[in-house]
Amino acid sequence: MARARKRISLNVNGTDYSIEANPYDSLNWILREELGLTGTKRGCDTGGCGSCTVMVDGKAIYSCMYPVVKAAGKTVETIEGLSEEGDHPLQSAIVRNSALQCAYCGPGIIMSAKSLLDSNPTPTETEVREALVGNICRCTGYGKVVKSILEASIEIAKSR
Amino acid sequence: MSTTQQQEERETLLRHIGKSVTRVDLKAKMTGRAIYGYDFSLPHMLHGKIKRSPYPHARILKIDTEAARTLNGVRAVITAWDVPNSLYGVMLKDTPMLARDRVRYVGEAVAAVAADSLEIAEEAVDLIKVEYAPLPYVTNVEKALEKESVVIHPDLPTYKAGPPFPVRIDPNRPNVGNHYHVEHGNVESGFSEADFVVQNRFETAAMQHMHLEPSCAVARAEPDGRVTIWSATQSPYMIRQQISDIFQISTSRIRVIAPYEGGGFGSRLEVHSEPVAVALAMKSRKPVKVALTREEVFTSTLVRHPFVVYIKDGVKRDGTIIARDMKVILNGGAYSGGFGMSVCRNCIFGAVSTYNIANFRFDSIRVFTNAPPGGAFRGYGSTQVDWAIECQMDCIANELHLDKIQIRRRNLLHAGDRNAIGETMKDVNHHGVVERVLEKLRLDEPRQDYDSGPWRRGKGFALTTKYTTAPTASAATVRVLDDHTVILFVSGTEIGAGSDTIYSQIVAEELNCPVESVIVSGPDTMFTPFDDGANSSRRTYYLGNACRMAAQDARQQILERASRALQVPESNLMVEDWKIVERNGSKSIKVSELFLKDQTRSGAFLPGSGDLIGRGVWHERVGFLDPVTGRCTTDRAVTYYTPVATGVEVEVNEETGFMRVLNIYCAIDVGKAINPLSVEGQIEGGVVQGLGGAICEELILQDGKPINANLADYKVPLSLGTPHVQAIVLESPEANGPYGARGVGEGPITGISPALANAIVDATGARVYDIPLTPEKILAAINLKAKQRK
Repeated sequence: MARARKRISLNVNGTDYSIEANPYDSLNWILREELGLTGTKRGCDTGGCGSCTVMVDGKAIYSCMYPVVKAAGKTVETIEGLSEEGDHPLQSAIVRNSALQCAYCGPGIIMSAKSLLDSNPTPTETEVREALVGNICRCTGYGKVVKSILEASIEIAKSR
Repeated sequence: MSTTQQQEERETLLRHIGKSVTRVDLKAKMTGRAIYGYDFSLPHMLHGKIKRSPYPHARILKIDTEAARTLNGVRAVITAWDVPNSLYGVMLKDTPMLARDRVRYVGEAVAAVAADSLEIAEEAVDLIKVEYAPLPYVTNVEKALEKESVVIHPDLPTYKAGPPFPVRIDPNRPNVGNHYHVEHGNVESGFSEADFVVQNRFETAAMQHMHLEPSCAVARAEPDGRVTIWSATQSPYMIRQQISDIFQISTSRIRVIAPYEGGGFGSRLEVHSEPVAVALAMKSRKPVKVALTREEVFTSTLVRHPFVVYIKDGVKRDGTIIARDMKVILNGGAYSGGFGMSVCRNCIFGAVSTYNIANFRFDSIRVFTNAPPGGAFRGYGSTQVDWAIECQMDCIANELHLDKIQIRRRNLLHAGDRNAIGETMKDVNHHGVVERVLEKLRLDEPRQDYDSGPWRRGKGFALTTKYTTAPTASAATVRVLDDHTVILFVSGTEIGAGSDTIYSQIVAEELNCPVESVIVSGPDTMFTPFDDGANSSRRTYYLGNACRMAAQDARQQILERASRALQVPESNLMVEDWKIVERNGSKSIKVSELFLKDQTRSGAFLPGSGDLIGRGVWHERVGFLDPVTGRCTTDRAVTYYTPVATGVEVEVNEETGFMRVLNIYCAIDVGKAINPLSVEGQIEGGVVQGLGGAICEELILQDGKPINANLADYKVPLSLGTPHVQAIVLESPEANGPYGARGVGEGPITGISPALANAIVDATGARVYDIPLTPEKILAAINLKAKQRK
């Protein structure tokens, strides 16, 4: 059936896109199905698992709950925009520590962590755990993930 | 030379084994480039959606699909009348792909649609009208056991079953689908010799696997009648067999390809949306993706069987358990749940592998109800049985005023002992794991409690044993290429456990080459050889052995070729980093020289230098349990047993029942940690998944309907509040394991629940008999205890 599709401009990982979307389409759906950015995962569609976390204007949000029309004119960062080579300190710390397993939660966790470190470059363990409270990991028990984020924060601080 | 010295010497020779090699899959996953099942798509693919039952039990009177069929963009609509009229199930063929005349649980598939978009598919599913006549239903397992109960499967006696899992019909209990019995010694005379009798009833709740990636399948019907399925399954060959059974297509005509898998924990050993995707693809002649929503995963895949466990022990004054009588009732839900039937058998192994009890009886009964089906879940029945046994061990110690560790040591099974099913126990290092946890737990130290206020501190302990099932088999093929790369063909899905890395380490070890030389193919049943699947902590052992043999076979062929090329006997040659060199000599050749060359290069070739393919197979034969006595037909029923000790420190608020878990220590004897960081990860993650089941996870049914089938209401452990798990790794080699290794995936989940319940007793004197140990239950137990004291 014909529903009013809307033209929306948004910037994803530094590239400007102009897309046609249904007003009710989620940012997650557009990223994955229209732009082919499947690094951002889909796990529950209700903001319950955090696997869809991306950054919009620097803030970590659940892309499954975020209407794409709300992202119009904004800057979206996804896992694909972090570092293609996987050498961002967050990525390399997780790889070095074998901190994730199935890692379906990984892209969301990294975006939550990046949003934290952008605003709080030297977080405490509790602050890291608070920042990750919306990201479920079913495989690891979180210990090595938290450790990796703390290590990455030190590495980023050093390079500044 | 002492054995320790010999072992040390061998270990120094190992190049990759025992090293925390960087996981081969993580970089792809951390850049978002790894394709999981849910991410997979094909051009011009349709989207499928399933219509599900809103009733726990009802007769289907009529299904009207007219409005759905005529909706623009709908390409196929199917009901039971459009698909083969066959029942499926790996152990018992009792499950229809789409319900025909009756639905048996809320969420059961009734019809399905494929459409140009997910949106249209969803709208079409809403347009399908199903007329039901609701029937009385039963979800309480003990009510379902009664003779007068609502009957879930009136046709149960006609269902086909696999030979190791016969259906045992009981006219007095029409919902019993399976019953196993073990009888060892004489339980009645054992009780007559006992000084004390301790009996209790324990329960566990329905827990969901909650693998983060929801189940999903993409299917394509090929023009020549073949079928291709992309599914992040734990067992590609099992899926292939089931699709073959349902559609009556020969297995060679079915190709299953497994992308990366976002967790499985047992659930994805069973087909979920694969059969429906295949049926829709056949009907629409287009590729179809059927991706389940989180709600569907909760209501319509599988749960960990809720157990009711009755345990009665006869105990001598010194703490010797002289008789034990256990009755275990599994809430099987509406169907066999794939491997659900064998959970009913295999939970026995959890009950007979830690303690040596002279007179022992065990009955396990799996009962059909109108609940979501119970299936394989990490721990596979051991966890629920261990929950009861390890609480019971503390109950006995408390009642007899004996030391909790001492009573466990006194009753331990030792190497050479025969257990209750007649297995001769191998040397399982229970003492080692106990010691290592006690070093951390310090039960000998004086209690450090608060002077005032509502918080009380306590410590808890549990000793468990996880079996690895048999008979199973794994095969591996390696193909050495002329650019010094080796492709490893295995059907073991990278479910998250780090298996691709373990296999790479093993192949690189045997070929004495860098780990980076190894490419793991990913499962594709058209090319990759048979494997039983990611179950029962079996792959490091089975596939590890197969990979090792395949690499050794390839190495031998390399040496044979080099020997011909260099005119040096094989025994004088060694391989190192893709070069074959003469021992105590000067001759050498690169492996790349041992292959066919094209006409633009030398054109020359060494005779017999075609493809270089090494093969390995590992299989273990064991006996079967006699259905009447439960005795094993040989002296071995499983592959091996893995001992696990768990210790916890908690604080409990006596006014609110709230519990804080401060520390968790988990020791497991893995034989050999092929990748120590991955082993630690498995222990930490397994314990925390177990923690979820222990303190908060339960799929709650109200009026037969799950009421918390979402992640806001179904609570799992989060980063805040989850304590650090201290993983303790012991390495007593397993005789036939690759480099001495055993599996590690499941052991860590088995002991956490009873350790916590025991710690609550230590802190408050109050015991909770059913998990999850919610604040409400803890508070009720504390209040009950207070009343009893008065």
